[in-house]
Amino acid sequence: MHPKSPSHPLSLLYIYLADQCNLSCRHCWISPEFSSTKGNVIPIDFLKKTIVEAKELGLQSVKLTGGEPLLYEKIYELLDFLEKEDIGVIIETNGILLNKRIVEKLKSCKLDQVSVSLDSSTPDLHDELRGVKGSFVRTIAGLELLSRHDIGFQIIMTLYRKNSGEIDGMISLSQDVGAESLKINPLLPCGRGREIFDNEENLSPGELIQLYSAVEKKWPSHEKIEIIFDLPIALRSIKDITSRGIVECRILNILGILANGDFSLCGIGQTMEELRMGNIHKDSIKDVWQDNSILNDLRHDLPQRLKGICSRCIFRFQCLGSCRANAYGMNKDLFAPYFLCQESYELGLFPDSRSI
Amino acid sequence: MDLSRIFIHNQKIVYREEDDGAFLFDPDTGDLRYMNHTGKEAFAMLMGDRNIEQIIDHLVQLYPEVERSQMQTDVEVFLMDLEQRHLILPLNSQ
Repeated sequence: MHPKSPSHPLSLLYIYLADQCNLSCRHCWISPEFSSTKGNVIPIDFLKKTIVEAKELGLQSVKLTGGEPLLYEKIYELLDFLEKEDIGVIIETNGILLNKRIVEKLKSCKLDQVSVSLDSSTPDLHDELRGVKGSFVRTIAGLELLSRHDIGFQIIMTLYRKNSGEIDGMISLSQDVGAESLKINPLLPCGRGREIFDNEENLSPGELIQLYSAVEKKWPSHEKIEIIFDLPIALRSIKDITSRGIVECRILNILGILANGDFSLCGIGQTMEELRMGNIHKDSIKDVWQDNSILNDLRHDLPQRLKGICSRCIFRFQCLGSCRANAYGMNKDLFAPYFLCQESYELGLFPDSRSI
Repeated sequence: MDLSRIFIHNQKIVYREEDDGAFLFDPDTGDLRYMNHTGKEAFAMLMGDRNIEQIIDHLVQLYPEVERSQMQTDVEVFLMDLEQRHLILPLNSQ
């Protein structure tokens, strides 16, 4: 155990508002229960109290996610509260429950980011990957609603082998519906995603790197839509790094709140209970943030204790090993190397110029 | 900036060159700086035998489409940043 470190502000809370989802995405790392019923899992009063307390720790923004965050019954009251408290809002949704009222409410908030999941420009494939027939049409309707209300949004595409030929179509569709950016996320072998990897329905590191280069070449950054191919920094081109900067998970400045009120290292506590750290019903977020040994170990030991290729990467101080939740999910070790970088290294695909 | 100043590489800093640019990495602090082609050219000339003015002269010859005044500004900003981060050193200080 290391002494507590007050030097890290808690900038961002990931709030997993619902432990259920109205889609059943094949890759979901959180693996929520399938349900379209609205619920009120986290008592709003506890949530408000915790957010106010978190402001003293440096809170700037909250990310509302889930499950599907719009299934949270008190979503309007929560957004009102966040607006009043001048807290930035990031929301990750499948877009299906977007309606005029929620969009107008979002517009009045201090919106940092609206991200909507869409995996294909072809309705049948999207519906197959998201597990619910008709979801494509409903998501597109949600996107059009956002666009009509001049709310900037990002489309997030999760990359399977099956939809990897769809990127051109997704870029065109994203432009047509008025998205500001298209983020292409490689699959993670966590939660339900593990089975996708077991069935080899994911792209290999070599295929990912090849596709990344092809997309960068075909769709240069001056296009009207920003394309974010979310590889770890070490596998990105210099051109991409210089234009987009080093944007990685800020694990040292984030805390998750799960739908049952448990504090967690981002959302990984949903499936890895040992990464939960108290509950909003009985614990103060200030105490958890300052005293929890997992958080203090990370503060003290990142990036020095990173293993494998991450320990030798010249980006380790900025990247901090990319997604630590995924590293733990795969290895039960918060300092294990990030799988994409490690596998790339073992395949001879990790750039020599980026390790020492 | 005094254009007669001469800089040299900091030997503690890791320099890595790629087709599209290069990186400077300080293994002690983790500080990282990336450079484009012009930055690479300028950095390559910090061998202790050319002052800033001579470096600018050379770069203007390499990139005639860039105005000298613009090149001077770019080089000064670039070198000041590297010096502040201790990624390069003034001659005789190492």
